[in-house]
Amino acid sequence: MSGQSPSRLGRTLAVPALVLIACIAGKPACAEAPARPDIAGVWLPDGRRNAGQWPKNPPFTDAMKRAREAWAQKAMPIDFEIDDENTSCMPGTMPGIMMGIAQYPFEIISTPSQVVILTEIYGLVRRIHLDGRSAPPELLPSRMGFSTGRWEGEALLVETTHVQPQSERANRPSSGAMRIVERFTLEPGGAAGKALSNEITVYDSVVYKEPITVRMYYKWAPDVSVGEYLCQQDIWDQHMDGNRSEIPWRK
Amino acid sequence: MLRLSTLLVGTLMTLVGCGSVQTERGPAVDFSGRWLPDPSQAQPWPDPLPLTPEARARVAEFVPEQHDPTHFCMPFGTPRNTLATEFPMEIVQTPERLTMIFQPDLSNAEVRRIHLDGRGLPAEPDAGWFGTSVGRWEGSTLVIETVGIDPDVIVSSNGLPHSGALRIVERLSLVQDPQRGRTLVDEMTLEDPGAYTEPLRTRRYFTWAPGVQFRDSHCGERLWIEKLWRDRLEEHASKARSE
Amino acid sequence: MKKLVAVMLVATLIAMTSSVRAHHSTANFDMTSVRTITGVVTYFGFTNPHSYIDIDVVEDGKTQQVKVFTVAKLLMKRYGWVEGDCKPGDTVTVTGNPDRKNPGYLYLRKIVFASGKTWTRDTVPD
Repeated sequence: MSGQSPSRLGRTLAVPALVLIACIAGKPACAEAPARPDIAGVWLPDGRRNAGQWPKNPPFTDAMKRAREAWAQKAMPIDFEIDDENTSCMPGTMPGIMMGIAQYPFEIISTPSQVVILTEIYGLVRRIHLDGRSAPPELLPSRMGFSTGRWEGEALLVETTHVQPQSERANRPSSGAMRIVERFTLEPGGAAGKALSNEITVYDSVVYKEPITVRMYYKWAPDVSVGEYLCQQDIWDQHMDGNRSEIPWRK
Repeated sequence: MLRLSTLLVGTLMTLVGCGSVQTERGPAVDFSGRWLPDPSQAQPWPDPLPLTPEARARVAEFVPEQHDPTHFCMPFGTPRNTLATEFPMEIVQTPERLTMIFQPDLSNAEVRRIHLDGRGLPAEPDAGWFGTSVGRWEGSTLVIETVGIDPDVIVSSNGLPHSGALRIVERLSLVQDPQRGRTLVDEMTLEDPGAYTEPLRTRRYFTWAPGVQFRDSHCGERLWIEKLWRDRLEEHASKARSE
Repeated sequence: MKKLVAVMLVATLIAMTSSVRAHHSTANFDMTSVRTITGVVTYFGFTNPHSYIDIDVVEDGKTQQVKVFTVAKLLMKRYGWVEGDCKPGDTVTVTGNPDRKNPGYLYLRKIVFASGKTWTRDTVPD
């Protein structure tokens, strides 16, 4: 390039220089995707803000009301030490999973094709597909269900179906028709610097006369690592220790 | 009218500019996706295994129903989850972290977290079932080091033990197999002078399987069903007694 | 009357289960009352999802075993409990909420270790 006049050199370099500046500035010229609110990281459910959100008297359909009353007549009072499936390490289902157990964090991993949520309690894996896929026709219901999502401005919108139904005996009954919509947004400020808000709406006309909406908050917890929560470790540890002491709550 | 030299310089600068930005933010290789282990290519352990007398004694005493944690709804753990050939693995990779998710049938998902952010291994790691792992790039190979594995974790279903001081080095790379297509190779070395008289080496292969389904399952179902059966039997027994 | 009873039973069902709570219900403990005991640790199950301590307490010349139930080892370690803080042979003082049916079974609120260090359940966020 020797011998070029300054103005010609300037023209030679001008366009690529602008592109280079644009690249370094992170503009779409060579970024993989437009900037998104950063929801990745570790979050702790905000017990104080989340408590009491679910309605104390949900708008059950008449059929569900009758079914619950019949069960209550037969089964109450429930001994929660015995009749709680959580004592058998059965995790809940959606949406309960996102309705926070305050002591236990979860982690969000965000990639262009999916958002993955890894909970500490029960070590659950939620996959939110962002690639436009539909549920395979043969998909069986599961506790996590099948979730798809899309970014809409500052919000991540998620829809979940195929959640394993829960009978009238459950805390939150659900039918196979349940559809859950979540709207995740970031909230700056607060004690932790930022919070993640999740507006959850449950649509299930078999169970409820009208949709139920709750708002969950999760506190940013960058100093916390999601740990190993092994729900049956107490049984294993007792076994390895020669069963020297009765585990008080396992019946 | 653009001169060829302008175009060439421009393209070069754009590529360098974009390239350097990409390398700073993006991985050298992206292992993300769903993978199925290929048992046909799994390199077997040496026979006989170079075990210390303590490890040899543990293998001789091994009774699966007593000593295999998976019989008690405890995890396969690391590295047994990575060496297993019966269930799929998903890798979710970001510049700071590679996450491996395993889904054993009828049991709990297992998660390995490999930090890619340049942190070193802890001097005194906590013992866990999935280990503490860090990774660094050597060209297009990811070298993963893992320490801090609970001594209750067995390495194979035959009871191959470790002393608690196990250190694992894995070299992950992608290859294109002429028959099987996109393939992930894991060259694994297990070092544990308390259990092995020399390092154990193996090579494992995973085939790209984007369509494989991960069936969410929970080992707790077993406990719950057993409890239901036990209660039902007690109910029937007490009913029979009162009749 | 039957209808009223049914409604009340359902209300109890909802009240007991719809709050955000730990995975295992602690409804069997009377959170309005506390009991403090001092004794010797005979067993410490430091584990998940709940740890537990067996303590021999001498009262009126008789030894009785008190079982103390706490949260997960994972949480205890995250919020200040260190391996070795509590071990068999240690004399400890525990304040806890008693089980409604069995006062010899406590949900730990506070413990003073043999070293003098204390740990309280309050350090775990809620």
